Amino acid sequence: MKWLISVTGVAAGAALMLIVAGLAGTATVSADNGPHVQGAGVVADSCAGCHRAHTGQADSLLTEAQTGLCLTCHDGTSADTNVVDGVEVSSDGALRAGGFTNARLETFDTTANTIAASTPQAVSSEHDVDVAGVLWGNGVNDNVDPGDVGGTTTLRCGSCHDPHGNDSYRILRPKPNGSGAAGDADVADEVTIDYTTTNYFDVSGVSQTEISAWCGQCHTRYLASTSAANADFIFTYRHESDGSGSDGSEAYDPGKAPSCIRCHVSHGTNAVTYSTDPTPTPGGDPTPTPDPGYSGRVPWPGATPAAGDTSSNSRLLRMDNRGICQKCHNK
Amino acid sequence: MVLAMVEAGAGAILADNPPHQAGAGVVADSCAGCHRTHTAQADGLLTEDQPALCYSCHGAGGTGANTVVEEGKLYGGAASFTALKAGGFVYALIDTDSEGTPGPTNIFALEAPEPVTSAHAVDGSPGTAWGNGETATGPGLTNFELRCGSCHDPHGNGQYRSLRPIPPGSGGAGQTVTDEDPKDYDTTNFIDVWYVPRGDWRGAGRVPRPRTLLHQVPRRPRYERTYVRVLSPDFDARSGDADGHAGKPDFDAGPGDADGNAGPGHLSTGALAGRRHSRAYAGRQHQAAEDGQQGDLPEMPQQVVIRLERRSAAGSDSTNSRALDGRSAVLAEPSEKTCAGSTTTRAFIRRGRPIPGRRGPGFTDGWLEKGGEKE
Repeated sequence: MKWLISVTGVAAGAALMLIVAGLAGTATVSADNGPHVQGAGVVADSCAGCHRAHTGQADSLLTEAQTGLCLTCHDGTSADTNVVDGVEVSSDGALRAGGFTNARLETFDTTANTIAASTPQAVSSEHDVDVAGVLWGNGVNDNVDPGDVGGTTTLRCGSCHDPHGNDSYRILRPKPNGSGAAGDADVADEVTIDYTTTNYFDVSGVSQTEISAWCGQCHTRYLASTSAANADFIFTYRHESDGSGSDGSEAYDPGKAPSCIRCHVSHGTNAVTYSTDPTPTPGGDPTPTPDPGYSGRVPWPGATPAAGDTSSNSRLLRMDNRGICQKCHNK
Repeated sequence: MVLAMVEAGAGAILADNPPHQAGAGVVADSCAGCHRTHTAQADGLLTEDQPALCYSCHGAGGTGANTVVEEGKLYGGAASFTALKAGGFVYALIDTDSEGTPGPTNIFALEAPEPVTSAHAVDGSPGTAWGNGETATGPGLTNFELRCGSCHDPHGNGQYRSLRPIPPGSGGAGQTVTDEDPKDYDTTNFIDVWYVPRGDWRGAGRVPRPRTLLHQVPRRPRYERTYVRVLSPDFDARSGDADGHAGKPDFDAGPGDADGNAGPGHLSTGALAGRRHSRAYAGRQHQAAEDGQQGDLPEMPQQVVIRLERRSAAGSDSTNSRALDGRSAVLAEPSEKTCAGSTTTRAFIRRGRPIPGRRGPGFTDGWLEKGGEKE
């Protein structure tokens, strides 16, 4: 199993922390709660849950390197949000972000405006953590030939989440580490925090424009308010993705742009993709066929994609193949 | 082509089949074959502009489709390629001076492509939609930009050739064109533009049939035969017509056998429309009545298929008649006839009914499986 990012970042010692931080009597910890509360710092574990002043074992005086430190709690053993399996422990509910090893999306749900929660399935793509990967679309829109799809970076849980808490939605950093973003992208927290969902097609609860702008801190060139051409050599024509006009819950409306999370989950998806198999089994073997498929017969803009960067990559999408396209376009 | 619609498992991709199939969307490439959500290079979130994108499969060297419209070729047959009915955009396979041999009813296909001399410009360059608009409004719509997708719906729509009922920008009121059944993209005679509307073989939506020609039916590699359609009811193949069109081959029913498979007698094309009156059919009915099978032999005109084969004279054989598990019967033994001066054609007639619940995109599967067997 690949060690993966944690939704609420550093959480070591949370089991002890929650008792003294005002949540006595519960067995779980919530984001911006427990050890991740800005300005709390009232007990030793507020710091010492994750840090050692003189005996740290990882950078930033951490007791353990990420991701292992984060998963001390967020693997289902103490924090309520088990980001490994994409489940909220206390309710057995499906986490909205999916999971890093397993996720619970019913990725073949053809019901209109619904993508139900399902039983755990192995993920097919996730935000890789602890390994260098392409920061797709990072940088400025330019017309450099052949252009690049983005630099490389090594994501960690704390790249996106602020373990010290910041009152943002999912304690997201306004400027993710390594993003190179010029300014902040604040995402207001939910009025009522709810980590789970029974309908992955409904992504309301967070401002769609704010969350898209936040994703755009790294994936800069994906963020589009129009599908008209821009100057970029690769990201030339783009689906509208800024979430304008949308609250994340409505059915297809051409006057409302989807946000990033309308189509993608942030942690990992169990959607499967097939390049050419005409009869995929829902939830079945995701192994792509050797046939290059139609997409293998058309040119990749700018450059040849790296291995695996074909249409057979599920790309954190919420449905099998390109079912998420069909959810609105119904071609 | 008829059968290839069903058994296109060898990588062939046909119109209104993936990826051009409405409501399919079952594999990633159903969308991603042509579109990129974030990295598109052309309007409509396309990976490439038309017609280059279309030519990725439908162009010279494209491996994704049998219909190479750039060169007017259809691949997948016995020959390396045959001629697309619509010609091509850069090359075409029309023997444009062949009408005199052997008769004015023929415009044969070429074996080698020739450059086109005129074509619908499908690269989006401004042109004139000649004749567009009301009368007395000038030559037509100017600065009209035509692309492949102007006429064809790449997502499929069940229409003939996926044609859009209203080509964008045309100002048309909307005109559907019933798809043919079975699909047949190529031809050996460009003067023959007849096709079978969907449902015709099943007795629904039956329309008057124009004339068709019984020659030059290309042989297919995997199926050996091509099913063709019924002739015009009033067309006398042997004597030709009032316009001077050449007479067509007739088909002699072979000698009858003890099973009643083939009543003796001549079966002209005219008889095809009134088959119940043909001696062949009458003999079969009579035999069936004697066998107590009258109820199993409904009147046949809706379901008769003429099957033609083209074979070389040296390699011809006559082992191709059989009954089909009681659902159809051979009414006439094959008979060799030379038609079009160069083609040896066999024909025999079957009747039968579609097998319920086994409907295919062309004939019923039952027909296809039985009829498609190699000999």
